[in-house]
Amino acid sequence: MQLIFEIWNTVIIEPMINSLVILYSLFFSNFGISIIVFTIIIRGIMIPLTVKQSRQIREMTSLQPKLKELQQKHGKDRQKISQETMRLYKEHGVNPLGCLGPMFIQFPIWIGLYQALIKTLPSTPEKLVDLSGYLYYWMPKINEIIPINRGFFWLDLSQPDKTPLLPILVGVSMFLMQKMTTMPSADPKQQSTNQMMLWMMPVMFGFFTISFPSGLALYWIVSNIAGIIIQGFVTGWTPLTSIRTKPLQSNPLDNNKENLEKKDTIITDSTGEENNGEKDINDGKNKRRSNRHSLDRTGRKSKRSNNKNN
Amino acid sequence: MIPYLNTTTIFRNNKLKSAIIIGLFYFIIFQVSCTTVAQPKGGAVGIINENTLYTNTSTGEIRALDILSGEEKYKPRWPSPEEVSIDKKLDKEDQKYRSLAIYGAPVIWKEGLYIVTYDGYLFKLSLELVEEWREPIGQITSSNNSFIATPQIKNGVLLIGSSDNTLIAFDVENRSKKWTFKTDGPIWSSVFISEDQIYFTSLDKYIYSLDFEDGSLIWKFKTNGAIVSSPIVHENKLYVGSFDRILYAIDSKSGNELWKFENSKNWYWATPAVHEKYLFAASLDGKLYALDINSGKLLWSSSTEGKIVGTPAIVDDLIVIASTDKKIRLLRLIDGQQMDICNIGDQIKSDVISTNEWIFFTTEDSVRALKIKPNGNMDEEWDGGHFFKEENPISNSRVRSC
Repeated sequence: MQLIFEIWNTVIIEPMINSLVILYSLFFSNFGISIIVFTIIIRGIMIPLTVKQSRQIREMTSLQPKLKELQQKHGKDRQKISQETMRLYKEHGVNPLGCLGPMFIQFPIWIGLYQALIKTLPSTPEKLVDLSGYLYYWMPKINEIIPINRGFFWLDLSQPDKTPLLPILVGVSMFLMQKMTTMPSADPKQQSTNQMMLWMMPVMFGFFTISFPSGLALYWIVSNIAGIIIQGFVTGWTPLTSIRTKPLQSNPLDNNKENLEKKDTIITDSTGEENNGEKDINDGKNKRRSNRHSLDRTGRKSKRSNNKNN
Repeated sequence: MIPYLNTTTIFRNNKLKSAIIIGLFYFIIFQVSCTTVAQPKGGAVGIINENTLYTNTSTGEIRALDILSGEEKYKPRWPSPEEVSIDKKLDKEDQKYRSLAIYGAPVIWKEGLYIVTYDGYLFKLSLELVEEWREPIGQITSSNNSFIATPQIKNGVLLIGSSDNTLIAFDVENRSKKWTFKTDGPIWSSVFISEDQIYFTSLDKYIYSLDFEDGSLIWKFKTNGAIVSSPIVHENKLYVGSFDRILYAIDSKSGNELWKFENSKNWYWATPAVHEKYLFAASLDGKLYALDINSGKLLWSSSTEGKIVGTPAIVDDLIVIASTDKKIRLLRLIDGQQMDICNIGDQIKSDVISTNEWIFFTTEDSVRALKIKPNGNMDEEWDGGHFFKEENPISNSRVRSC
């Protein structure tokens, strides 16, 4: 166990802490800017992974109607379903674990960054002593940069924000991020989970922000904004523009009704001609464009429906 | 987001199950990466007065222990019982004051015990641990801390540096501030008082010398790193180590550099110790450096496997060092030869203090006493430990032979 911790510290924590300290000295001795730059660099390094993950998720989503058809076609023959599913994945070049891989690679980086931020801004003398063990003593001048100024606007980056502003910003940015990364699904169960994640994550991270150092909250906000931009360039900005064109759901039950209607459509219409446009996605080369069109149609439909109700 | 929160829908769509799973997932993640905002621990080995060791625990309390037996001599009664109902930080059952933390050791002046707390209070207690008064003299910073250092007292004037960049001279007889001096960084070091001149360091990288009477600046010396180590002055020479990994020798009257020692591979945290022609500097690189006090030339060094945070103690011709590798080492002054080593079983970050052949230090949850035998070996005599176990605060269960 000790060895694992040592490897973790050597490979993840120490490089991160030293990078943060160097950035601090380069960017006007302002740790807030250091966090922002560092987050952008990390997100930049991980762009290939993020893009890969986004594409894998999109591919998986686009195969959902076909998987549904397979399930209906083969009934309870699980082995056959499994074989056909794998064949389908292979045909479309999808690795079912492909979307998890990048996530698992990113995860230690998120946790490491979180730990590095807290260790770089020690709030007690004991923690300052601990920090001395993480700095590269061979790096000239690095010891002279400590202690780091923890102020950034109204924030002490080592302490939680005493105002509600940061939790709100984290929540809003997380909501937009979720909105961007949640792919439309033909599966009503998946839709339901997506909907739940859409509010669950922002609320949860908003609550975390109340008790975690504001430096970490700053990282979350920047990371989310960077994530939104990357996602926007990979899969388009439709999810965000749909927030503007499609008014907020006034009643979750209405939303649920809509989901149930969609479910009926999918079950009754196995050809999928009008199953909220998802079928279009499977056409291969023009997947992304089709997806955008289908989402636009869904948005317009929903708008018309709302107007009628009004 | 709030409009989505409809429990009926949640239950109907089995969302609750998913919500619990995701919630648990993130809870586990944050528990695994459990480096949260640290709580201050404090604790210092304290001060010896006659046969009593006044020590402060990592739970923000003061204990008075008999140095020979380790038994608690007085029950703390601070604050006075009538204040119990108005102070939020009181444990109403045992009527003990619990500070957030106490980092500095107590100081004694005219039968009074003076204690400064992490949350900015100065307390005066009788030697029997009964509170006489308290004053909120420290400014609380955004990190909720105020006093880290051990105060010093001379002629009824208590000197203490604060995390809000202020050195405070407080007249304990009139209970009023005599003067203050502002620096550009928190002051975590103790003040060294030498006749009418005082010396201290700051995290702003400077060593300061002030006039004791009015707090006017005599000189200041810039190093290349923050300083938390307290300076020591011996025969008009000041010695202190910095975060720039350099130990400085400075003329205490003029503030001019005499020599510097640059071999350390990490910061200096502990105060240097002086004995005749030797200067001992303990570093966070885990080494104790023995230097020629006049030239700064390295005479010998001794390594540990951890960090040396606390100031070593000199007992006759031996020096005792405590390390975070959980071991106490007894070295010969002249050549650094290790005479004895004792595995304490807990990390030691406190100073080591001594009286006669006894040495004392604290770990996170206990105060420990070792006795140096005539043959140069150590034995643990008692262990006033388990600060967190109220039912049995003093226990000899962990006493061992080294």
